Amino acid sequence: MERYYKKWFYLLVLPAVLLFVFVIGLPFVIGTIYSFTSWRGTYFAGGTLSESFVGLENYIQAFSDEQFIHSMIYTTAYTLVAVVAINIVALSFALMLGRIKRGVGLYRTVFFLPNMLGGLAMGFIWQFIFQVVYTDLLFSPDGLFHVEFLRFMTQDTTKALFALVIMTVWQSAGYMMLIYISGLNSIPGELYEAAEIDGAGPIRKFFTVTLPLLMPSITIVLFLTLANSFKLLDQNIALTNGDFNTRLMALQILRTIQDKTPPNYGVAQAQAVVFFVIVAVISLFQVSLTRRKEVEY
Amino acid sequence: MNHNFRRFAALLMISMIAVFAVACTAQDGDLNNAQNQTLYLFNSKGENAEAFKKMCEDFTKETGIPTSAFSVGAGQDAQEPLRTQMNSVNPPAIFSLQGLKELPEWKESGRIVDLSSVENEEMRKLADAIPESMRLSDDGKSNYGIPFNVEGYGYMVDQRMIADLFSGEQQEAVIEGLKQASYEEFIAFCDAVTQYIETPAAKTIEINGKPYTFTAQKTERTKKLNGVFAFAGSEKWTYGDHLINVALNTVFLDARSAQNATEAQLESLRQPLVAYAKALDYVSSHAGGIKGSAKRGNDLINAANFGYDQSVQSFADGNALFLQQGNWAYANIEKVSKDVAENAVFLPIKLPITDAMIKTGKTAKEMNSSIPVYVPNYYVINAKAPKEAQENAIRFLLWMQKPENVQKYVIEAFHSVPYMADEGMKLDDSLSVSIMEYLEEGKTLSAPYHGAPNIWSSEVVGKELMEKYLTKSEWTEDDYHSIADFAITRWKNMR
Amino acid sequence: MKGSVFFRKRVVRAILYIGLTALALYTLMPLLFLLLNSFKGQAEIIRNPLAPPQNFTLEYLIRAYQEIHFPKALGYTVLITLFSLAFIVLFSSLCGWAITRHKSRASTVIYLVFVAAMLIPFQAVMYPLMNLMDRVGLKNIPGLIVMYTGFGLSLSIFLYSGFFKSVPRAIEEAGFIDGANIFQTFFLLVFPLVKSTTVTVLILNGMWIWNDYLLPYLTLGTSESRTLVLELFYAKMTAGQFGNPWELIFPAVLISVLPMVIVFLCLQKYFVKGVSEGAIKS
Repeated sequence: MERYYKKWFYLLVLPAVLLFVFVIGLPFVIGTIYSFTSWRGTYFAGGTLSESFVGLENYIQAFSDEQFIHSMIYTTAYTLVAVVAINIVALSFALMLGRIKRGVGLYRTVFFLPNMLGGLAMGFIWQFIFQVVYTDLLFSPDGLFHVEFLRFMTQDTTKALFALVIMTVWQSAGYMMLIYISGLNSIPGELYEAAEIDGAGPIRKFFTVTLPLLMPSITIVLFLTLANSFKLLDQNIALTNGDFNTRLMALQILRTIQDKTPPNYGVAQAQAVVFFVIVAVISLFQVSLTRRKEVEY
Repeated sequence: MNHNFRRFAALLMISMIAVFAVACTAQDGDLNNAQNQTLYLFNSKGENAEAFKKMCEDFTKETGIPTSAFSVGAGQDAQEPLRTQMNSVNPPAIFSLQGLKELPEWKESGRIVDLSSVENEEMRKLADAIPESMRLSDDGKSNYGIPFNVEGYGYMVDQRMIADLFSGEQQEAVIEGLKQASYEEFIAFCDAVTQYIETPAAKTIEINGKPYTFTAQKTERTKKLNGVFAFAGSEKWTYGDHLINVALNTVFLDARSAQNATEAQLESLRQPLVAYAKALDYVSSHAGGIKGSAKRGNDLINAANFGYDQSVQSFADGNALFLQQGNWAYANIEKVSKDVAENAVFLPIKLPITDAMIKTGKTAKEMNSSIPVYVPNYYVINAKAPKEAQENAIRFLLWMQKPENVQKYVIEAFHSVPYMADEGMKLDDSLSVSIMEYLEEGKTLSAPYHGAPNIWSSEVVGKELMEKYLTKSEWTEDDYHSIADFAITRWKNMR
Repeated sequence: MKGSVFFRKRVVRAILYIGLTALALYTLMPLLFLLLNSFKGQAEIIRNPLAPPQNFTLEYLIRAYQEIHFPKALGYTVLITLFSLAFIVLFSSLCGWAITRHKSRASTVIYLVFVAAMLIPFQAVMYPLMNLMDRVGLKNIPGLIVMYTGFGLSLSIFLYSGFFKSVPRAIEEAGFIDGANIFQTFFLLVFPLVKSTTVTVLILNGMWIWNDYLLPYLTLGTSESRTLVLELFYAKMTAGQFGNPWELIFPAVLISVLPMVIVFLCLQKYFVKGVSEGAIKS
């Protein structure tokens, strides 16, 4: 059997690998080389590519930029909160929907819908929700409950972090729910039956059957939320646009380009590489950790 | 199952073939283009995209030179696509630049043609004819671009509102008076309007030395007023770029001199910047809005109530008397109220400055009766485009600047003010006409903020004001000074 | 005894429904906002975003429909999305299967590289990528499909390889013994078992390809062939330098999202329980 798989292995992975190298691999390698040069986006300051190598200067500049360091910390804080929140909500959605029969499709659609709403309309709607609905209607002194923390959420570094979490949970919990649902679906029903025969209650069933068999999905969802949170950009722009010290990593890199003229793409590229390495180390660590807990047939 | 598989395989084959077929034909198309020497254009006045395309098509019809235009919205969004276009196999031969700010990048990359030294004599003539103050030049000698148009801004006012506040026949006199008025008189007028909104009375005030009396009763129109200024607190550029620019005019004649600012010049900005802070203090504490008169505080920088759209709305609906914006807002206002748009004119933005603060030879009175008018965008020629493409680019610019084409495209299709207005040209809207009047009287300021360090005005000073000051109800004398100090220190650090 | 268990189940179910409905309403709020404002004029949106439309009119929806050249733009968007999805599903399922079944250093490396690629911010590859595509003559719709396939692979391979693990090898072994070749084994026996993963891959990739702005913008720009999102941005851009034509944006967003909602509703039925269980039986 093994030999059979081995024989066909390269043919099966070839198309994917080729496309990948062309679309992501090669450009990324080129970009990484550029991070050691004085690249300006359309040209190299000081001549050709080979003449414009600056060694580690771009990396030194990246690390001595206070705003870059702040954005790293801020992004990490946001990611921690968001990953936990999104996963709890998504898994609850999936589990709850697994327990009911009528209207499953409807609820699933509703929870997934926010994902389809991106781009232009998003900014307006969320500005309005936080600045008018939350601030004046729901949580003002004469509103439903008075919660000062939930007012003017886009005008404060800490509050904005939670505003971003609220927004991204709303947007992506439904998305992650889908993955959990398809994970739950692939758990063979007879395992539950067997557990029931052994006299397991719902809680024990969850911990002895559902959770271990859901590990592949948990790996995926954790990784995806981690990656998405680290890379978050559109929502950051829509909500605060980085004002009040709320730049996440991706926006910081973008601003590194826009803040200087001529734009220093070399430094931005160096920031992107640093950022990639950090995130990759954390994520791969997480993947290998959760993968070890997966059950395989 | 087997049946399904065959269907799947067949579908797959078809799709593969289709994609390759499309890919190949597309490549053929590109080759043809190269033979015909298509003129590639990059236009960053995205709002004119349709009209710009039409203009290019007309050019092709007349000259037989094929064109291909790429349009994007103005501002930072324009830079990324411009760079990808520059990296492409067919880079644009004509592209646009937002003035001095964006010049260094393209100059350093060797992509800019100095129009004053091209072979084509006609082009040199056209370039030489650009008024000194409107040239794209970093040293005063070079001449890199042909202006798109000119834009101007100030306090817009609906003239009928003035007619209703006083008496109909005094409308013109009051407007004229407000144009000439000093800062103190202007503030007295604004105070009187604020009071009138609360309790209308036939009070008499002096504007530019002449007395005028309010009507005792509010009209349908003036009833709607709830503040003097429509204020967009969440739009940093309105006070970061545009309002501060008026203060920069006290020391710098144009963007170039701001770019080469000396330490001493920056120091002499201190008093004008204090004046700027005072004026902003007044404006932001006398704001009207779509939901009633506004107080300075967290709510004032709320994008859902005090964004650009909302400020336009409150002006066009008559909730506020003045709106600090430029002629680009005409279309936005027109959408809410055609009448208001047609009756809007510019009043100068006024600052509490004295003659002693001004280093450019102007007087405070002159400055407070002028509005900034400047070139927002230039067409430049890509020096790295093929020779023939560059020649076509010159032909295009010459063709475009023929008076009849200026009238047809710049004025009628783009709804903007040409940089060199001909006697025979007829302007399209009330705000353009208003700008032209200031231009004819020579009462214009320029745009030195274009010469300030990149993002200094809006993303640094504007941001500081928004985050720390506009959220605060009272400003003290100390605040004025710390604002000025912050602005100067950051400019020095950012150079 | 039996009665109380029955009763408890009903109580649990009632609580579930109440909870789900509350969450659903909360989730719907912003979407309701979109819906409400799709029937209003600019002034009404700016002044009273929360209020229902003063008079119900389809005027704005119809205008948006025309302004974004809906049928044509829909055609382009569907074309791009469908082809990209077909390639993504095909390549990533094969690759995902191969790397789960064949354990070697190569397969681990490939897996990790694909996973790591999900962490690369798009901006970090943007310029070199566009340059590369331009040089090989792929700055066009086929090129866009190539790029989407490339970008979509990582997530999909990640998903597939996760789920192939839960597909028992016994099925494949039986296939080989019966003399099926590797493609027959895969497409006839294995592939149907991960239907719900395929649907997930389709939905998740379809979603962002449908709504993506930057890639089509950089490749197609303001040419005549514009996707729905490009049309919307184009319409916004031509409406003025500052400010937003909300009376156009809201209805346009609404109608460009509708096709996706319909597809989603149709695809959902594939999320059925116990897929592999059923397969073992057959």
